[in-house]
Amino acid sequence: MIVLGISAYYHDSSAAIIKDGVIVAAVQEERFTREKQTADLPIYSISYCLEEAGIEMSELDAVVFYENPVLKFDRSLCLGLGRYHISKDYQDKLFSKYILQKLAIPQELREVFGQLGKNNLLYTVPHHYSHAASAFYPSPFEESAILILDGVGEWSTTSIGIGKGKKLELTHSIDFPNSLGLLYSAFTYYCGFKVNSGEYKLMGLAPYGEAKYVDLIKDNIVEIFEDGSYSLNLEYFDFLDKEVITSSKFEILFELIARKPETEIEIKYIDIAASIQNVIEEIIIKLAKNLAKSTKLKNLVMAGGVALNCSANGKLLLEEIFENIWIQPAAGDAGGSLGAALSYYYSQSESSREVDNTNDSQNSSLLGPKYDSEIIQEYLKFTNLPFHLYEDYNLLIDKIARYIDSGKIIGHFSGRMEYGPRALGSRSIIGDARNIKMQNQMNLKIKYRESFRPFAPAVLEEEAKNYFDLNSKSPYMLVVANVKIDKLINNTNKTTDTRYILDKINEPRSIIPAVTHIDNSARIQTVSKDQNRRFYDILHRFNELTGCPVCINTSFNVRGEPIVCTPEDAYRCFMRTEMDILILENCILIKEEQPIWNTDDNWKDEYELD
Amino acid sequence: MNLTKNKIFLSSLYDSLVKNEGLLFQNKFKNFQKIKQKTSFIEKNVDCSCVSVFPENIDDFRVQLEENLELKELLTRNKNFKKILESVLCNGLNSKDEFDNQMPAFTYTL
Repeated sequence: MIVLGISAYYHDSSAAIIKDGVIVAAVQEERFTREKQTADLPIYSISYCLEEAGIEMSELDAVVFYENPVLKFDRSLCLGLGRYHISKDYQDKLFSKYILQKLAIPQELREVFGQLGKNNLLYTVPHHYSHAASAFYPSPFEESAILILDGVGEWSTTSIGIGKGKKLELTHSIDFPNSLGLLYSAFTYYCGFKVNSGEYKLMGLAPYGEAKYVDLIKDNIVEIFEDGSYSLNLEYFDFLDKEVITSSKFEILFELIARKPETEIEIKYIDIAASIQNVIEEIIIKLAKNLAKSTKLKNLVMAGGVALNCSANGKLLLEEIFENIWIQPAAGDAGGSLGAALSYYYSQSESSREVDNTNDSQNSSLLGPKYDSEIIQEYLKFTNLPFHLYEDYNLLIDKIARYIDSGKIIGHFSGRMEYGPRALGSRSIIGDARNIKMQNQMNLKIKYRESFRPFAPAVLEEEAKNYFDLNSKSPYMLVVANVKIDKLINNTNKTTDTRYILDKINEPRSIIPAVTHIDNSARIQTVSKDQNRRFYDILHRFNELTGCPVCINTSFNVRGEPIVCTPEDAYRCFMRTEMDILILENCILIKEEQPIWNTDDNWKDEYELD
Repeated sequence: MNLTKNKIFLSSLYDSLVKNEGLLFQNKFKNFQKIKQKTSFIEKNVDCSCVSVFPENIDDFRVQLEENLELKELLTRNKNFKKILESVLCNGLNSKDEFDNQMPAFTYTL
């Protein structure tokens, strides 16, 4: 049975295709259209998935959409009617948009692809069921508790349930307008970052601050119950009536106006970021405890956009509420397409679900397009770009490791593109984690982003326990843990003035300073030989040369740009930034050897800042 | 194509349901904080696990909508709701081009 899943028309549109329960391909539309987190119908992603599976749309057993339009209609109408007396223009706009877009999806798909599968029907799965399926079915577990932490689906914003074998059941939910995702997004907006994409910045900012306002938030904005459920005080939110998420009461409560994007970050915003991060972690831990108590299961799977909060995930691991936790790498709406397809398959197929309780079936989340060396060479020759071809794999790996050791910043493009927001080695910028200046340099000269944001370490899986307080694998960079105490260095010149966070950035805190955050934490990717052979080999060779099994791994893009997809995207990004080396499969391009790039000074305007 | 019916969709429903039937939906979005409770969890009493077909005609849509708890009651008791809903969905679902043409009117007339 071959099933295509689609998510679209909110954010992070994507498509995924599975064959007899095995994931064949999955990709986000933004990678093709170059519009970050695009909500467009994922025409290019669908085309790629069909090509990868070698099938026409009409031959599919089913095409499945990741949410139920009737339930969504229900919420839209309830909201429209409930708030019509306050905000009729806004409600009218929302409702019109809803009807125009959502209900026309089958027709739009037929216009492009013709018949929708063998039955010419579009199937639907409820939003949180898609998330739950994306978390449970690819996980290594036969049986698991399920926790979905989201902004909003149809009605549900948080869901809990159980997966066993091929059966998946969501038993309880917290419904809109109570929402953990919207709560975090409200603070994201208030602190001057873009909603639905800047949340990870708020998380990155939090460790610089003190959680001074936890009680203020809990006393006024969100009430937390013992079972982890929560209730928002809607007086502090305007999202029911406006496009603005917070109300003026936020500013009154904190005695501070909402931060304007791109302005200096005052210490109070940083303390507020630390405080809401603390609140979110308390809620998630309480939810998990309640779930463990009610299900008595030892495994937990998670999805939903809030499940990408790796600081909270790290705290959850430390609590040891569950023995094992698996989080869908594409935890946000991008993962909805995969969940929809898996959900359909396991509910309609008579096949059983096979797991080994150790390895997941996510294929390292390397599920996107691949470009063979021959194609790359053709492209480079056609465009007259100088490159060095390395036919010998070991020589290539050695060369890359030596470049890193010599302080070069490398764009690494190899194999299938990652599915989900994290670059895991296939479309990555890599550098030396030991280099004190590397974080600042990569932030300001390569990524063109705020220099407070830390980079993530990629570490050989077998060495992770020697460098980090981490007792489990973290192949998808979804968990934060502390750098081990014996890797920290005494710093007698620590900045004492906390008003200026940028002063803190260049203070070395460990022997891998470029990936050690202000609180000595790191967002870790463990790399194994089985899951990601080439990236493993690079780290392994680097370790042989230097005695350090850790490198910086950050996504191959600049701020606001989707991760590169094609060799052309990679070359453009390479030339626009101060990267030193570009690796396209086994072709090495050196910046000094490249023809003068026709500098397009306005290129940064192409990408909306997040 | 009768555009007028769609233009007045929300306002008609608001008049007939909310004003005349005791602020039914407004209560749903009132401040939850004021309600003393020990949890905000809701037990799922709709089986959300089932795969359904994307509704492409009014009958399918209404059948699925009738299974939903929030609007079921309205559908069964309020003829005005049924009538307006049918108008919107028929226009919206059966002819995208026509629906596209009328959407600006729908948006700006209210």
